[in-house]
Amino acid sequence: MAQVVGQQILRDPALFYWILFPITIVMILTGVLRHYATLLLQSAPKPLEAKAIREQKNYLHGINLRNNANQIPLSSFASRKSYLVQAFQSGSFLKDPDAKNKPPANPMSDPNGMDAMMNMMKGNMMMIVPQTVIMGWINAFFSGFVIMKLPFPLTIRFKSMLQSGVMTRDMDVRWVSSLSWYFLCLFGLRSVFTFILGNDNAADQTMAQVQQMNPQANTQQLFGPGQDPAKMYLAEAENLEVMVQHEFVLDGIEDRILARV
Amino acid sequence: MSVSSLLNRFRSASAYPAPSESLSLSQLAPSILNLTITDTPEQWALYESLLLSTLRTADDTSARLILQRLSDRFGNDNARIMALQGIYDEATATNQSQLEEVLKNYTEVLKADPTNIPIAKRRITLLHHLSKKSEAISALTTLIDLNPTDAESWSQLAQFYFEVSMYPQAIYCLEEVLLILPNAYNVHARLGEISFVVAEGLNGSASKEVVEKLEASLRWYLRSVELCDGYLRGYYGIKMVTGKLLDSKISAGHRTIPEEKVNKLNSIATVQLNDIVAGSEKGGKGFVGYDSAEVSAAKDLLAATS
Repeated sequence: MAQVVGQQILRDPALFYWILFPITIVMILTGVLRHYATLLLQSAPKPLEAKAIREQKNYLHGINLRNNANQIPLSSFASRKSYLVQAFQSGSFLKDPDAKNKPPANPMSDPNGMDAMMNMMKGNMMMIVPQTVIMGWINAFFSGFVIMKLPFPLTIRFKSMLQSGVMTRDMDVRWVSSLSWYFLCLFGLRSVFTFILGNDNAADQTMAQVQQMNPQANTQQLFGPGQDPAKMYLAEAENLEVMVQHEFVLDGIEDRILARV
Repeated sequence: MSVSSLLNRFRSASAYPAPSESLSLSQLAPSILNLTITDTPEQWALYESLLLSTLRTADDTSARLILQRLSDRFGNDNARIMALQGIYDEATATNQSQLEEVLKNYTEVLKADPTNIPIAKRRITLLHHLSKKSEAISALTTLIDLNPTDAESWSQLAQFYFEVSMYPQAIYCLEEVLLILPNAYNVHARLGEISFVVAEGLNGSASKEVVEKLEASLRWYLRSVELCDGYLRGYYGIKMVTGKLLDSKISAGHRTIPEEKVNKLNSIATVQLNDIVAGSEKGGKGFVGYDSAEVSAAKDLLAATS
């Protein structure tokens, strides 16, 4: 493919002021607007009911005992172990003990799950709607313009990225079309938003995508929607039961202290 | 002064400030309240600390204003604001019946929402304050049944049990704290203290059980100084317990720690206590932050045993 070195295109300098700046400013303003709209739309996470808290915290209690068993004397550990294993197996900490043998409920019908999904929907809408609108706006007004020339050479691979909307095969890759400037803004304004809105802003879409990847990370639900607490309790009871090794940290402490001086 | 430097001043204050310290903190109120509200977490944390200080020094007008700003920002139905409001009501109550009124209020809030942990804790504290100790204990056990992974509740329950001389229960609770916070050296020392009290209370000062308890107490204390060098309470405890163990009344037959080791531990504790007392009297580097009452107690102990 022939590349013309030192290609010259005569442009009206007004193109620069009437396309490059408007797109940039509109992108920044949309980002700021999106941030505040997301804040407005976000509903506070619903507080858990007492039984759900009890179910989760008692499960953690078992894990704590397993992890830090060596901190307490053997007799204390043994009595706690036998109590917790018995309680875990009988399911007395469960939210609804009757549901123990039923198959897990459909996660879609769980009201808590619905809440999370609704939030996700709102977030997605906040991303998609402005993007579609701006994309349409740019396509309608600015499509086909070449607005600037990068001050450094690039390989041919960048052509599709920098010149979308301009179907000229032989044009130098350094020329940037208006639609491409939009894409560059879309992905590159992150530091600008951090500067304007602070660190955890909702303006940048890459952040939102990361959050969508692990929706479990920032919810206060310990048991995911599809998990069966009864089974997890039984597993934890088994984990506790098989713990036979117990080394009390206070054994031989006097020798450790004496060896230190 | 900036918000963060003010907040640092509050954070560096001791947990049980002396009246003069509370007063100097409380007198910061006008300068803090005149700062523009920037709606940062630091500023609200500062407001919260200032509220407690102003209540300690009976600066009720400032406290009222702080509380007003907090509830304007976070709403009256926020659990934490409700608890702060409760503290304000308790502090400004002038007689028993007003306190009972606050208590009734708490009970009502909890009936509507049993998961309001801050209010539940306020209610327990108030019950205890009104000398309804058994009610406080039962309310606290209900709270712990709801959330057995809260170290604060467990240590408070240990304190309640200790006050009514139910030592095995108190020890159980402190062991639970250790399961949550395995490196809490102060809890280790507290276990040592309670074991020591148990040993003191037993009949027959030379029996096997007493020696067992004393050695358990010694081990808890040793663990606390293993976790925290220069922990005054830990060394104080070691000195006390080793002194008891070396007491001629206790027969050597029941001991599991040989006498020479006990002797050595005793001298280590003496050296360390001497260092701490001398260092904190001179105000040397690395000796700041010791409680002056504890230092003088250590001094007395050293004087009594030498």
